[in-house]
Amino acid sequence: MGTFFQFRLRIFIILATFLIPFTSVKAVEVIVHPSVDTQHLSSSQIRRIFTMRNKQWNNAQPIKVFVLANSSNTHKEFCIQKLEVFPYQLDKIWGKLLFSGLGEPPMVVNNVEQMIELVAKTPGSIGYVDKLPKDSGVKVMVVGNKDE
Amino acid sequence: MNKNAKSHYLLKGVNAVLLTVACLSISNALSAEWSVHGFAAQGVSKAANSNFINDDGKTSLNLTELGVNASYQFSPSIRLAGQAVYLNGGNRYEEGARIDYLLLDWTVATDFDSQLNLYIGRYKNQHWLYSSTRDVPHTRPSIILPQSVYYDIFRDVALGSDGIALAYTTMTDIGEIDLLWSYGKSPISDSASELLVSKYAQGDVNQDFTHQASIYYRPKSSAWQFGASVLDSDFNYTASSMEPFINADATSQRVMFNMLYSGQKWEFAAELLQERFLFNGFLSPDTHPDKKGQGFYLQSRYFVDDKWSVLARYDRFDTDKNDRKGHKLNAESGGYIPSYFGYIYDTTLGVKYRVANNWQIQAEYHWIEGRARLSPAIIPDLQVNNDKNWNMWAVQLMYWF
Repeated sequence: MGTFFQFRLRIFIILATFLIPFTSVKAVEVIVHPSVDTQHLSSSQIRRIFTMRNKQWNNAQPIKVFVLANSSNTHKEFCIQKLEVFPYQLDKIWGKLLFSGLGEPPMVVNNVEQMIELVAKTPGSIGYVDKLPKDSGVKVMVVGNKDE
Repeated sequence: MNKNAKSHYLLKGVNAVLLTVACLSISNALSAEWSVHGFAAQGVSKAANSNFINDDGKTSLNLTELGVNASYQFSPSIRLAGQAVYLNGGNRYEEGARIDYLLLDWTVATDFDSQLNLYIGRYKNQHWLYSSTRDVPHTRPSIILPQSVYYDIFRDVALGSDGIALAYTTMTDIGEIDLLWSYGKSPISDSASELLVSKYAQGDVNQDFTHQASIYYRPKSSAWQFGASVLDSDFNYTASSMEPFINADATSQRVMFNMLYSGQKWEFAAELLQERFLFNGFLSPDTHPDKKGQGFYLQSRYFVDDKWSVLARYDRFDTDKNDRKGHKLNAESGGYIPSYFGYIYDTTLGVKYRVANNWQIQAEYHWIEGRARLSPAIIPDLQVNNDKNWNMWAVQLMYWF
């Protein structure tokens, strides 16, 4: 029994080694507070929101942006998949705004759970997650290259 | 400056920053609309046989930068933002505490794809690639910026002004466009006058105005950004009756182009400038020099991983485009000013390491030929700067929150 278990474990490890590079690229979802009535964002539009160049929604509601820490893999995936920029570029833009008086960087949250909680209770807010439980109280935003 | 005066300024600077932090922390606890951030950096640098950092060319700790900023959002369209800094860069610029910016930011018009902002108060120069945060260590590509564009002696004059600025950003079918315009004047203190003109100048330098405009364009689905800017500024010098110099007025004008490529592993940046400088008076009523200087830098950065990045840059400036080797400068001064004061070529290698989330250490080495862009700008220091070639290094540890 013991050797069979070890064999199965070895097979599992071998398979996992192959799968990890694929599974580590998670699909990231953009989430907004249910009060946001915009249904779709182009890549340029979402990039303008996260670089703090666009401060209000179509209906004049102020936008509140939440992000995960720079070191988070979900943040890196979000930058590349949705914003089409690299995390260092965002960091540079936020630093420039903040230390030259032109704006505030987004609020950094601790984890995905806190992200969902804050987006669910803050009108006009936007964030992103790598997994979304049912009945999370947030709306998923469609993001695509409609403008390209 | 003697030691007592120096420590007096240091204390004044630190006190100002601490007081601001204390006041703002209290306010921060009281209201969610407040936001407070800051930075602190200390470094070591050396420019042997040059007065770029200090007069004796020895290893120097005069590389201190402290700052704290706060902003308050009155309404979705109006906010107040300010930053106080204490800086010490040795001879590179005036040492001491100052208000870096203090502005009222009014979002005049906005829709989903465009925004127009008006800034009133002391605003920072947003027109060049690194001008707005040249005094914020972790936002710079290197500790010492390319002197062709970011001439340290002109730092206070070029960093920002008291006046008004307008910024418009829009997304179009071909990409994003930013337009910026500003009009104001910068205060110039007595010690800054010394750096600008001469150690022996006892009069006052004043700026009448500085007028700037720029455009930035980021094509759709491209990693490139292109920009252009213009500057026009007038100064005057009121001589003291105790000195050999006489009243003068001066004009400085700049035309610049820049580009930036941001890839996953590589970043390329370049800025190109032509600078016209003319003045009447100062040495004699018949002195009317009118020179056009030209310069550029090419810079590449490679991001090894999340923590390490390296930089290589070539920076060049010729004070007079019709006298690139400074022979005329030498001849016109009767052999007094060596020709190598007519240009500066700086090759730089640098490295950056992110120690932790908000901690970074930076180091760089500069191989330099020529002595243009040193202080004082008008009457050069010939005693220390007696060789065409010189080198410089700097290491700085920085923290921000």
